[in-house]
Amino acid sequence: MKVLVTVGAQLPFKRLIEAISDINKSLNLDVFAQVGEDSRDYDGIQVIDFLSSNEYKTKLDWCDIVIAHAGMGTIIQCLELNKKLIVVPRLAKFGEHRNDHQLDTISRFEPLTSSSSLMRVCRNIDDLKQILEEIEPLSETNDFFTTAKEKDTENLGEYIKKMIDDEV
Amino acid sequence: MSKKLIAIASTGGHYVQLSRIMKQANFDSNDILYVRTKVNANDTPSFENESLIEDVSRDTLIRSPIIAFQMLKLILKHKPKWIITTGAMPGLISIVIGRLLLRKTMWVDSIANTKQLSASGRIAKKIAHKTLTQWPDLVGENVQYKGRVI
Repeated sequence: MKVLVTVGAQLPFKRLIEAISDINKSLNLDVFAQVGEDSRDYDGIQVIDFLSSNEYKTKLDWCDIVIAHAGMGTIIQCLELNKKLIVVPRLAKFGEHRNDHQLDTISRFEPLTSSSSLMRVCRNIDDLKQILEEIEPLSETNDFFTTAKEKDTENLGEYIKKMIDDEV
Repeated sequence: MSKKLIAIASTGGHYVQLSRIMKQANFDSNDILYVRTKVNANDTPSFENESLIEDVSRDTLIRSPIIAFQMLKLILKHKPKWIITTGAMPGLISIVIGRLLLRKTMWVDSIANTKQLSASGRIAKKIAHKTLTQWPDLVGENVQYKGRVI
């Protein structure tokens, strides 16, 4: 199983990388991790600080599962590719972000997930191994979210197009 | 050739959202100049209508003038009617420069901000012509909901 780990373009997320390195001692997965400015050495996983957007796209295609911080960029890209995704929120109490907005983000998305959805939320890092083992056998044709989002009649893109075209 | 709009955001989640919103808006690709921040010194544009600027965050505010100057140059060169951004700090700076150069400006707050507007968004709503949130319950003075990216 090929795993891409990504912590985004800004801050490192050592707690996550450490946990994955630990888990991988027993699972022996093919792990490629984008770790940000993090000079620590990690056993058993391949790391890089940053990926260019083309390199990142290549790695997204390559992997079977993405494990990431709860960043919207990663969630959107995995949704578009219908790619298995486990998100772990950064916590302000560990200095991983300025505030706990990643907890707010997952609170909005967690209700859309289930044991059969391709997206999973990992609130407690100790559960990561179990979630990984649950998501691994799922078919890639499963739904990204199991519960459809509430009906939304507004279309952001159309609104912006109309407004800009009308005013130009 | 002048552009209809400049779409600018920090590389990462902000830029992914902006790109997706612009794709949904379905503009002619030549109408838009995309601008994102450099991830590192070796970062280069990934397609023709993309330009890169330096990065800045709340911790490196001292770099703001560099970005302001880079945006000034891009706006004068491409003469967009609109500047649109999803954040973060470089987007806010672009809104300010855009206003100074008499452009129309729009702030679309990131969908990651589910409980209140981002810190930059709370400033942007006082400056931008249009401020949108992606969560209906965050609508307020000068802040509208017109849909979300996913």
